[in-house]
Amino acid sequence: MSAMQRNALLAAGLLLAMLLSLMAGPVWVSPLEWGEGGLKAIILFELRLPRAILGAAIGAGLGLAGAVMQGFLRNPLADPGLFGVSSSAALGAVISLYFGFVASALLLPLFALAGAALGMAALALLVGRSESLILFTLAGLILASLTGSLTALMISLAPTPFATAQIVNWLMGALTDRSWADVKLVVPLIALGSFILAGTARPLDTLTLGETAARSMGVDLGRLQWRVVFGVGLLVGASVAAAGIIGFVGLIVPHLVRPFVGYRPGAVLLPSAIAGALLVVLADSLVRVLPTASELRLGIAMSLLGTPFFLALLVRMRRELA
Amino acid sequence: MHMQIHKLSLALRGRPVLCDLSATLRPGRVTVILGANGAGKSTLLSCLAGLRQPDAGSVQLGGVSIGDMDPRARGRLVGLMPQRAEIHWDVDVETLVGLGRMPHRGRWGLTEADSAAIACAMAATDIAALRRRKALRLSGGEQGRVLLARVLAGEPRWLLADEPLASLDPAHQLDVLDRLRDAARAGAGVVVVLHDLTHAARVADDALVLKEGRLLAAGPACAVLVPDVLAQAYGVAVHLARTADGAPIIVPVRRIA
Repeated sequence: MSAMQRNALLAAGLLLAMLLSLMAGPVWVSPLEWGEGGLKAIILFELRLPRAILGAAIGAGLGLAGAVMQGFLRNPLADPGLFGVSSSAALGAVISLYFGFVASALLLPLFALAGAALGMAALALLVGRSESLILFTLAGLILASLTGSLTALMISLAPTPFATAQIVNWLMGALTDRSWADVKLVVPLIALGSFILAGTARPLDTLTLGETAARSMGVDLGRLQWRVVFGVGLLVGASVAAAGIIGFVGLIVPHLVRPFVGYRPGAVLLPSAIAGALLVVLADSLVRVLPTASELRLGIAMSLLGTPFFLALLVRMRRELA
Repeated sequence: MHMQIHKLSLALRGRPVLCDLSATLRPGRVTVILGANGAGKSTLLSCLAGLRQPDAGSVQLGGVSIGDMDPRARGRLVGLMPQRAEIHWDVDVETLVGLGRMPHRGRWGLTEADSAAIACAMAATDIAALRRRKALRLSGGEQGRVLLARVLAGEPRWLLADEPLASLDPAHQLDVLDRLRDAARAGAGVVVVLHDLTHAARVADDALVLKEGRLLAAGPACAVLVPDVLAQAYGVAVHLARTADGAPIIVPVRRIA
C-alpha cells in the first residue's frame, strides 16, 4: 500500500469514527433523526459536534507533536510533555480554577494558553542559543518539575474542598460539555502549530544520520529547534487548554505508525496526526457509552488504554533482547 | 575549483586548536590529513565543511568563503562523512542513501537525477543487493559502506571523510580507499583524515601533517610521508618498505623520547 492510500484509509476511518461519536452517548441519536430538530438536534449540534471536532483536533495535535518530538530527539520514548509546556499550561488552568475564575468559560483556556506561552519563554531563556539536546531535555525537565510542584501546591492550598475536587478532576482531562467557543479558540491554534511542524519533516529525516551529517547537508539545527518548540508548544498548549492533560496519545500513536511507514521520521508525521485524531475520537465515544455513574474521564481512559500497549512493547522487547 | 585555507585560527574553550594554518587543496586529488590525537585534524575538517566558524582566517572555495555560503548550497558542494557513524532509525538502506540527496531535493519527491545518483552511489559501494535491508541490522562494515554511499549520493565536488576506515575489516578498508580514489579520479576533491600510515601512503596524492594545531608539513605525499616528518608529528620512529609491486609500507616501530 502506498503512503497516500494508507493516509486516505486512516482519514476515512477518522470520518467514520466522528460519525459514530455523533451518535454515541447516554442518548443515542441515529443519523435518521439528525434533521428533525428538537432536543436531539441540540444534543447533536451544540454538544456532540463541537466535542467530536475538538477531539479530532486535539488528537491530531498530540499525535503530530509526539511524532515530531520523537524524531527531533531521536528517541522513540519522547513525549510531547517532555518540554514542560503541557505542565505549564496545566498550571495556568489550575491558577484560574484556584481563584474561581469559572464565571467566564473562556478564562480557563486563556490562562492555560498563557501558561504554555510562559513555559515556552522560560525554556527559551534556559536554553539560550545552545543546540545541545541534553541541555534542552534538562531545561524541559526542570520546567516540568517546577510547574508540577506548583500545581500540587495550588491543590493543597485550595480555598475550599470543592476547588480541590474541581482542580483534581480537571487535571485528569476530559472533553465533557465543550462548546463552539472552545472550538473557535483551540482549532486555529492547532492548525497554526501543525502548519509550523509540517515543515520539519525533511530536517527530521536528515537527523537520522546525526547532527553533524545533518548540518553538513544544510540543516539549520537552531532554527529547527525553535520551530519544534514553538509548534509543539502551540499544539500541546492548545490541547491542554481545551481538554486538560491527555497523556499517551503523543507517545503511543507515532510508535504504532512507525513500522508501517518504514521508520522514516518525516513520514511518521501525517499518519500520526490522523491516527491520533482517530484514537481520541474513539476513546471519547467509548467513555460516553460506558455505564459508569459519572462519565469516565478521558485522560484516565487513555492511561488505562496506554498501559497494555506498553506491556505489549515490553514483552516484544524482552523477546528481541533474549 | 581549489580549496584555499588562509591563515586559519580557531580556539575552543580558550585553548588554541588551529593556529595560522594556510594550505591549498586541489580537486581531482586525494589529500590525507595526518597528525597525532588532538592535533586538530577533525576540527580542521569541520572548518573545511563550513560547520565551524574560525576565529580568524577563512576557507574559500572558488573565491567564496565557505562559512558565508547558504547552508544548502554548501551542502551540495561539500559532502562530509563524520567520524562517528550514526544511524538513528531502522530505515532501509535505499532510504538512508537517499538522505544524501537532501541538499539537492526540491519540494516534492525524488527526481530522475536523484534516483540515478542514489543507484550509482549504491553500485559504487557494492550495496545494491542490500537496498531493502534495514540499516540497523547490517554489520558494522556494511553500515560503513552505506554511510559512504550516502555521501557519494550527494555528488559533492569536495568529499571530506573523517577516519572512514574505523571499524572496517581489511578488505573493506581497501574498498573504501579505492572508492575515495575513484571519486578523486572523477574530478572531486577528496580530503581524508587517516591514522594508518600505510593506508595514507597508498591513497594520498597530497598530505597535510598537523602538530598541535600548526601545519608541520604539506605537499605531495611522497615528499611528506618521510621518517623525519613522521618522527616530529607522532614522536615515533618508522620503518619504510615497499611491497613487490612498489606500494609503500610505513610501520611505526618505537617511540622516540
